[in-house]
Amino acid sequence: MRNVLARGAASAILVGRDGARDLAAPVLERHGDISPGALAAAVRWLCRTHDVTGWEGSSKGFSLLHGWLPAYPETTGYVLGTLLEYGRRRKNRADLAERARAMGDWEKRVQARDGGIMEGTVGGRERRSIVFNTGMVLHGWLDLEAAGTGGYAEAAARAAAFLTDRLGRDGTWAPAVEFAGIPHTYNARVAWAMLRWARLTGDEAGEAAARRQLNWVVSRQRANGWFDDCAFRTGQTPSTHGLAYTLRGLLESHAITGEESWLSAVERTSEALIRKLAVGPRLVAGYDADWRPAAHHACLTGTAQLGGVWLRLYQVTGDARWLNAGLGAVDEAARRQQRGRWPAIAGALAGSFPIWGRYAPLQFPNWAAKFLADSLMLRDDCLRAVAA
Amino acid sequence: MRAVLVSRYPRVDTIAWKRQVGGALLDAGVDVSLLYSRASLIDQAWAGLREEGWGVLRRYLALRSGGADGEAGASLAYWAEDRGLEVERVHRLGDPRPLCRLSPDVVLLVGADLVPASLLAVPRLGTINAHFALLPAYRGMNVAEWSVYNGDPVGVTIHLVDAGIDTGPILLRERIALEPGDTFESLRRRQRELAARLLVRGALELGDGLARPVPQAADEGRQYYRMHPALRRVAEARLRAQTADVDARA
Repeated sequence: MRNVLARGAASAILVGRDGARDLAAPVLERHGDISPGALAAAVRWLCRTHDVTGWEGSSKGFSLLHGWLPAYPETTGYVLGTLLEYGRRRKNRADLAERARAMGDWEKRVQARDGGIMEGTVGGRERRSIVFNTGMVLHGWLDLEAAGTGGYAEAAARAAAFLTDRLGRDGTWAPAVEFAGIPHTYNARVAWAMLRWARLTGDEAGEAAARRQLNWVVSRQRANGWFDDCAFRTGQTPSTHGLAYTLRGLLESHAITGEESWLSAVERTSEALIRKLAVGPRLVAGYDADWRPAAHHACLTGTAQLGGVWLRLYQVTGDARWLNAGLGAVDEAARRQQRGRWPAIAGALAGSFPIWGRYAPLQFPNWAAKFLADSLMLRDDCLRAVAA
Repeated sequence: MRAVLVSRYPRVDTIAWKRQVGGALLDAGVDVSLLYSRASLIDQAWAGLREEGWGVLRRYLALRSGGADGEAGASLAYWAEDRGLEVERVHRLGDPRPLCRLSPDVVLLVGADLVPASLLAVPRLGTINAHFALLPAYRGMNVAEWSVYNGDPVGVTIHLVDAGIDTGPILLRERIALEPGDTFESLRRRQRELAARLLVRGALELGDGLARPVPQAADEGRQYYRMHPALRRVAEARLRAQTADVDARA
C-alpha cells in the first residue's frame, strides 16, 4: 500500500514537472554541460534493475503504475554489454563484470531449444523465439566472450544458427519469428550481431545471410532517407527508437565490412534527422514519410540512441557535423535523466518526455538508461579525442 | 535602379553595416526603399530567447545603449525615414504585396528573416544575400566558427537567393585574413564590413548587367547548424592557435 501511494505521489510530481518543462523548454533549456555524475547514476540504476530480479535478468524497468517489472531477456542481452564497457573503463569495478556474467548465464537458461530467445518478459507462459531478441542476446554473449568471460560460444552458435537458418532469400525473416509477424528494418541490429559472430568464427553462411538482410534494409529506404518497414507494427509511424536501431546496425556493419552503401544510407537518414534536431524544439518520437513530426512527445530512448549513432558516425567519418548533432541529442536525453534520491528512479530515463507520452508512458525502461549510458561513454571518447 | 533593403527589428544583430549598405547605395545613385518586418513584442522576445537564450537580454541592452561597436540604438527603419526613404512595415514576411508596391529591381537581405518563395519572384533582377562564410562549402549557421573549427578560410559570399538555404548562384566571394588577437567577435565585425561593401557591389553589378552568377551544385556543400558549446570552445581554442601562427609569422 505504501509503495502504491509513493508511486501515486511520484506520478503527480513528475507529470506536473514535465508539464512545466514542456512549456518552458523552447526558451529555458540550452545545450551545455551534462552533470558529471550522469553516467555513474545511469549505471547505478541499471545495477538496481538487476538487483530487483535477484540477479537474474535486468528488470524491464520501473513503472509508476506497476512498480518493478519482470526480467526482460531482449534488453538484458544488451544491458550487460553496457555494464562490461563501463566496468572496463573503471578498473576497480569487477563487480560489473560479475553482474554481466550472471546476466549472460541467465540468458543461457532462458534460451529456447530452437536456439532463439523468447519475446516478452519472463514469468508468464512460454513464448515463441523471435529474431530481434535473439540478435540482442547474441550481442551480449559476444560481449562477454570479447571481455574474456568464456562459456557462451555454444549458446551463441545456436543463436546464430537460429538467425541464419530462418532468413529468407529476400533478406527478411519468416513472420513466425518476427515481432508482430512483419519484417522490420531495425533488424539491421540483428545482422550486426550476425556479422560479429561470423567474423569471430569464420561462419561464411552467417555473413552472407547478414549481408542479404542489410541489403534488404537499404532497399526499404526512400530517397529522402525515410524507411518503410521500420515501425514495430503495421500502420504505425516509425519511432526514433526503431530508426536508431536501423541506423546503428547499418553503421556498425559498415565499420566491420567497409560496405559503403550501408554508410551512405545512415548518412541520408541522419541528414534529415539532424535538421529536425537543429530546428527543434526537440526530436519528437516519430516522423511521417515526409519527415513531418508525427508526435508531440519525445521518445527519450530514441533520442539517446540517435546521439550515439551520430557520435559513432563522427568516429567513423571524421565529419564534425555528426559530432555536433550527437552532442546535442545526448544533451537532450541527459537533461531528462531522473535525479533526486528515490532509488527506484534515480539515474533512470523515462520512456517519453513528457512522461505521459505514448512511448512507455509513466515508465522508466531499462533500455533507455542503457542507451543513455552508452551514448555518454561515446561522448566522453569523442570530446577527449577532439581536445587532443 | 530601384533597390529594396529587407530587414527586421534587430534582436541580436547589429545595425551599422545595414546603414552602410543603404548609405553606399544612395551614394551610388540607387533609389533605395525598405521593407521592414517587426513582429509583436512577444514574438520578438520568443524568437530572441530561442535563438540566443537569456544572453539575448544582455545583447539587446548593449544594442540600446550604443553597443560594443559604438552604434546608436535607432533601428534601420528610423534611419530610412530620416532620409525620406519609402518604408513598408509588415509583421511577417509572406505577403508579396508590400514588396510589389516598392517595385524593386533588386532586393538586398540585410538581417532579414527567411524569405518565402512568394517574395523571391518579385524583384526583376533577383534577391541577394550576404553569407558569412565561403560558399558552397559552408552553408547554414555559425559558419565562421565551423570554418575555423575545420581549419578552412573564413570569408563572405554574396549570392542570389533561391528556395534553398544558401544554395543560390554565387555572385562574389572574398576571404578574410586572420589577424593577431582575432576573436570570433572581431572576425564578425570585419565580415560585416566586407559584407556591406560586397552587397553593394553585387547589387550594382546586377543592375549594370555585369554580374556573372555561378550556380552551386547541391552536393558541393554541407549544411551546418548551431554549434554545440563544447565544440565552440574547441573552435575558440583553434582560432587562438591559428592567430598565434599569424602572429609568429608576422
